[in-house]
Amino acid sequence: MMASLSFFELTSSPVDAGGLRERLATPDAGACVVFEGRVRNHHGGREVLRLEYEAYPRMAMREGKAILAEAERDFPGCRIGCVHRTGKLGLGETALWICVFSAHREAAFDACRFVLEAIKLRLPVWKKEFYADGEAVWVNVTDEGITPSKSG
Amino acid sequence: MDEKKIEVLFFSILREQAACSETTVNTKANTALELYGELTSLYSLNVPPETLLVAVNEEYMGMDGTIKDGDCVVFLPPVAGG
Repeated sequence: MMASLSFFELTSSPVDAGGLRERLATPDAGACVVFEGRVRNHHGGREVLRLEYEAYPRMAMREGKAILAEAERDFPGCRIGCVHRTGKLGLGETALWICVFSAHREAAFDACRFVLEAIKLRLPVWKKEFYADGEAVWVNVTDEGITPSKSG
Repeated sequence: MDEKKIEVLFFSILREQAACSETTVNTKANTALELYGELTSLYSLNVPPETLLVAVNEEYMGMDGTIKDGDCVVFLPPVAGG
C-alpha cells in the first residue's frame, strides 16, 4: 500500500501554493480543488489593516492531521494538503490553503469543503484583527465583559 | 484531597490577560472548571467559562472533566481559524 501523500502544516512563512500543489499531483487525479482563505480588508463594516494568527501548535497539528484522516476515510481516494498560517499577515495573504486531488470532481469538492468547515470549527487557532481606528480584537470572543486591547 | 501539579498554557486573549504563556500550578481542583476558577483570581482573567473549551493533554473535553496530577490543561477561547 502506498503511503499517503496528504499533509497538514502550520507555518509562519508565506504559503507557496504552486509548490505545495505539486506535492499532491499524480497522473491518476483528474480533479484538483483548491481553497485559499485570504486576509480581507474589512470585517463587520470596519476597515481591517492586518491580522495575527496564534495557534496552540501541538494540538493544532494533532487536530489538523485528524481532520485530514477523517476526510481521507470519508472521501476515499482523495489526497489532501492543508496549510494554516501563524503570525502576522498583511492584506491579501493566504491564511488557509486547502488542496484536494481526486480521480473525480465530486469527491474533491466535497472533501475540500469538509476540511474547511472542520478547520474553522476545531483547529485551535485564534485570529486577532487590527483595525484602521487603532483597535484590535480577538475574533469570536464577543462577550461584553471582554475589553478589546489596543494595537498601540 | 491530594494536591496536583498542573501545567497550564495560555493562548489568545487569555495569554494577554494572564500576561504569560504558561505556568505550573499546585491545586486541589478536581475539574477543569474548578481550576479555571482558581486561575481567574490568580491572573485576573475575565473570559466567562461558559464560552471556553478545555483541552487536557491536547484532547478536547468538557469543563466538568476531571484533571489529574501532571496534566497539561489549556482553556481555549472560541477558535477563529481559516
